[in-house]
Amino acid sequence: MLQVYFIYLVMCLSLLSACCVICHSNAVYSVFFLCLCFVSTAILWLYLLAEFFAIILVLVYIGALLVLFLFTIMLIDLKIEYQKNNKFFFFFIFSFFFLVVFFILNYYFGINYLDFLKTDPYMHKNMNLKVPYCLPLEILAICLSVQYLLEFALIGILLLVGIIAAISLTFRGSQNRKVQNIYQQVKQSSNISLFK
Amino acid sequence: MLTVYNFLLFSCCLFFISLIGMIINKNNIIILLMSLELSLLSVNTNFLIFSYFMEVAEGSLAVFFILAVAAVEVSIGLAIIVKLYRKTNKISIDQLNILKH
Repeated sequence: MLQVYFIYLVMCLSLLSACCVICHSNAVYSVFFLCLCFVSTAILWLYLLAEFFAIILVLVYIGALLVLFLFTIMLIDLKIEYQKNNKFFFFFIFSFFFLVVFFILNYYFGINYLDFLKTDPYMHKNMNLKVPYCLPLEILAICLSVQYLLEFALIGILLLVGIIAAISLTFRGSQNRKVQNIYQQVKQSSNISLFK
Repeated sequence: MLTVYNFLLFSCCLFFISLIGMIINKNNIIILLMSLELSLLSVNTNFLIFSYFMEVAEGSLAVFFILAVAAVEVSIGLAIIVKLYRKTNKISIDQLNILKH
């Protein structure tokens, strides 16, 4: 029973930090709350026996993507735009509403209220699993490398295209390169040209 | 004991929070991208829930692909934001119609 309470606590932490993300007026704090939301969801994924994906979520998302968000916010000075709107009121309303809905529906679909669902044998079988199904990483790797090899390769190509696109969008070249300025060259009047 | 409904309620609430975040932050591209990340996280949680309760391995594989696509999408989106900031010195949705003129 302690485990169930812990999972509820983690869920509430994740929902509250998600409300903080969308309601905070400063984007830096939003990124930190997004980090907290990802960490608590990774704990939830650990309960669902997806340890590999929990590690991937922490490493890839918090290690790479949220740092990318932070760097972008540091590159862009947005303090003037953000200080205007204060969404503190929204935060209380949203968090209260979502937590109330979450707890009421959880209570409604709790242990004692599952009797009316037992008419459907298929759902009954799937909901009341006594022994949790362990999904080892080997099954995942075999499934990925045998059955879904083409998709795996396509994901690699997609990541390569993403790298090339992101770099070519933001790359400006070195500052002191000696490339000719075509506009300035054509703009010259014929009086100062070398060959007449 | 936790059933599939408790987890599904969690991911549903997370998805609606991200949807409301997209609505109330209409002129803020960075928080828009963050709510997009939240919605993708809720979709991933949904996939993992059904992969756990129905004992199917393909749900976890979908999470793998969605994570990669989300990483690519966010990196390109942030690159576009940086490029836009260099052009116009501020980012807002209202100024995204430069191509119209």
